[in-house]
Amino acid sequence: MLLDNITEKTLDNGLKVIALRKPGAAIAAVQLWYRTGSIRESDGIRGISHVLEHMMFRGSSRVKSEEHMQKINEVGGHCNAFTTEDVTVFTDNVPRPFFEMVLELEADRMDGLTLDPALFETERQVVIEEYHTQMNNPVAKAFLEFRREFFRGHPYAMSPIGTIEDLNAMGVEHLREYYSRFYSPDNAVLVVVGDIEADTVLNLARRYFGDKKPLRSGGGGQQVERLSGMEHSPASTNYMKHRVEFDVPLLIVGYPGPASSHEDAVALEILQLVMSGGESGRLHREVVRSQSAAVMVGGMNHLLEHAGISMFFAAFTPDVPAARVERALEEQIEEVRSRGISVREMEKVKNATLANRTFELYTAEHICQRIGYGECIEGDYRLWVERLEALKRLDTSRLVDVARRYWSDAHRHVLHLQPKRTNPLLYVAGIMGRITGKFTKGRGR
Amino acid sequence: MANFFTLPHMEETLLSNGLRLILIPDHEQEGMVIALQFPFGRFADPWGFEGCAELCVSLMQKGTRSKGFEELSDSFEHNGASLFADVGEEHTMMGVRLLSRCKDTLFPLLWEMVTQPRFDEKELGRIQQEMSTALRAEMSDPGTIAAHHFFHELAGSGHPAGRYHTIGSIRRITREKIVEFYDSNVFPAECTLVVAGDFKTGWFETECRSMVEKWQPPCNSGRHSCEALPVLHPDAAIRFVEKNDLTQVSLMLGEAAVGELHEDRNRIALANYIFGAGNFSSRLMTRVRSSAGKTYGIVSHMLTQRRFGALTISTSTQNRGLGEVLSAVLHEFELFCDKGVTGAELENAKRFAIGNMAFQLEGITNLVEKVLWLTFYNRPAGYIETFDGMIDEITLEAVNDAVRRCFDPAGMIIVAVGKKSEVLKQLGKFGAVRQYHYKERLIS
Repeated sequence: MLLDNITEKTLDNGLKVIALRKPGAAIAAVQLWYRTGSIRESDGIRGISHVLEHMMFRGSSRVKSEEHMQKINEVGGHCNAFTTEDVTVFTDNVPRPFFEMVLELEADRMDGLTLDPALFETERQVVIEEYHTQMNNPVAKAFLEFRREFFRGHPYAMSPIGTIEDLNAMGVEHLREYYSRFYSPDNAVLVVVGDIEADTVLNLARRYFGDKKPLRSGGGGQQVERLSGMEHSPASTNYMKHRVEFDVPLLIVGYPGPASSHEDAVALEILQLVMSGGESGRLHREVVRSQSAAVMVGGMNHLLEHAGISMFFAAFTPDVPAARVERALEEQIEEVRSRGISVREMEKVKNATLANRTFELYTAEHICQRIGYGECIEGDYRLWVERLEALKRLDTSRLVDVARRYWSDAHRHVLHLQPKRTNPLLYVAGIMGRITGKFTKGRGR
Repeated sequence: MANFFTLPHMEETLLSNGLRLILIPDHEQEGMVIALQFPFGRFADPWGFEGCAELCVSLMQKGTRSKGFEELSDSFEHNGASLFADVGEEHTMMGVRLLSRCKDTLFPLLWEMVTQPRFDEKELGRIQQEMSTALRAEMSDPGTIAAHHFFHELAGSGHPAGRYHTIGSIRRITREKIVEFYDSNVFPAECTLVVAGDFKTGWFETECRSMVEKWQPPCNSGRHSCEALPVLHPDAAIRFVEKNDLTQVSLMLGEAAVGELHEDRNRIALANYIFGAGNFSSRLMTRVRSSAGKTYGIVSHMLTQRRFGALTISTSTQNRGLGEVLSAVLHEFELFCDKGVTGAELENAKRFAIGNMAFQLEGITNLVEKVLWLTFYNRPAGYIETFDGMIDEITLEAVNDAVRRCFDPAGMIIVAVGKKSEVLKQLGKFGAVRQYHYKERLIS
């Protein structure tokens, strides 16, 4: 039924347009997915995809700096953008009557950016502030090191935030070159969801994007190549321990996962839901409740376009040895590897998937996001639409095999974060200072 | 300006037990949201037992007189349903998101949680440990540390907004305390139950209504209001909280403001959009981020309860930039208080407010939240339908007059969390600074 409302068309210049009509929707969601992210970066320009994403709001010959966002806000809408390893995505959500304005704005910045050097200098500082915000989170910072080791030798080892050295050294000429290589209609997917006829979407897409030159016929005659041979060769086991300014001991266990389009992705998703799906999931039931080894547990599969990571994590109290927590997690993983899952657990997964799908369908933005992700990361948006059917078709006897292959001890990576001890005198001194009224002196405002 | 939204048909009834029932059939998808709102929140925590409201509500979901935790959680999760609970300052929401085909099984279970909780001792201990762990994690976050210090300074420890749960207060809460809290706060009067989604009102009438109406208040069911009083503008103050691992300083500034029920509420909300809440259209974002590149984000927020309110400004910047950012923010605030906003800015803010209403009504989850908001703050019938006219009528003079009456540039409270050797000296240039260490709250 959902598919009946979806129309897809590739324009002559290569822009793929996917439109879903949502009758009665007051909101129109528009997303433009560019098939470029940190995976396309090399040493010297680490973080450039993300910097360019910022610069996309800094104006063209027709739209002033920050005017794109202001125009969307002025009609009550929201817009934003994000950069991942594989894609850079621009999202606009507006009351339906303003959807044409969004297409005009997005088309304008597909090839019309000014990339003003002075504005770039300011925006570079903004991105550096964003970098520091991430680095001031001790868990996020340690995880960046963990992923570097986990994906060693693969472009996914680097986070889209980049390196501070490259952010400082990057020039506007690098941005121009990157922009001309990856921002083109034949390297993008436009997704529109709202109460709008498919013909209207396609006609307006042709009107605003139709004259954009594809790279395949551009000056250089080049075309954005689809990346291939990007499989991840997992490193052997690794154990990292960090002392951090974070008061809760944490353990993160990661295993190499498949690419999101791989046939094993659905099976691994089922296994993860059985392990960490809510308070009836195995990890919570056994590790938290039966064994009291951890206070909170969870898990997720972060499957990217070319490779992924399947993770489990636990927060525990300082009196519990990390080895005990690790063992408790490992026991549950081993249980699945040896015995698989029950029929009742499979039913739970199907119901949870159906419920998630049902609630995704209530908002235009969620639908837009799922279609874009399906098309650009999973390889085909139909995979999202047909996920429930895929679950029903799945041979559950395969699950044990999938668990053994992916959750293998030979490739297990562990990150243990242990709280740093703080000298109690430091804060006792603070209290005493206030009691004695010894404030730092300064000028009044 | 055109109105892009309409509220769906809903049926509202005041039941004999004092509970307000709102039914919103919506057959767009096969989902339902059932939410019950109580007129208490963390502001109702007994003194010395901060965290009691949150513990009580969590524990209600962990077992009933006839069903233990495992049976309950399995019943909901096996059917793809998600329980939720949100303890706010003056109100609390708990409920379930479910597939409509499971409503006959799950509504009675939800109702059993509300009316016949078990309050299991073992579950209490587990939730206490979970809350303490979450608190330890939160207190490593500079933004949270700044917020706690800000409200402590603004409202004082004698006001409900100025106190937070601590590891000590969580540990002091016994099962008896929870039962006492439940008996005094969880009963039908002044509660609202909203059922939205794929069902027919006839189903509720035949299968649920008598169950809901059987919930009776205890004999002495007078409800104690947990409504916090507004605070007077306290004197300006500066707090520095030492956390030496940071390369970026987290800032929270602000002062007392109007509450939801205040006549200036919408005028101040529009003004705040222009000042700092309006994303890249706001003055703060333009000045500190877009023009100077000094922060990744800066936002001003109106925290409004019924009568208590506060304006907060949050941002972060590298340690060396603190003085410059603080000067810029204070300067913008002075301009805002002194000169107000312009006619063009106000028109943009109005357009955003009106257009944005469509998002607040999209999907049954948002719709339920909005309906509960309308109910809790006693918004009149037709509020949504006439919202655009109400906003359009607000004049520039009224907004600027409200800004001048409500805010005082000399009364700003400033909290900075950062590395002492790089931040304190810069902060001292703005006035006398009181110093703290970020771990202090955990032992208080």
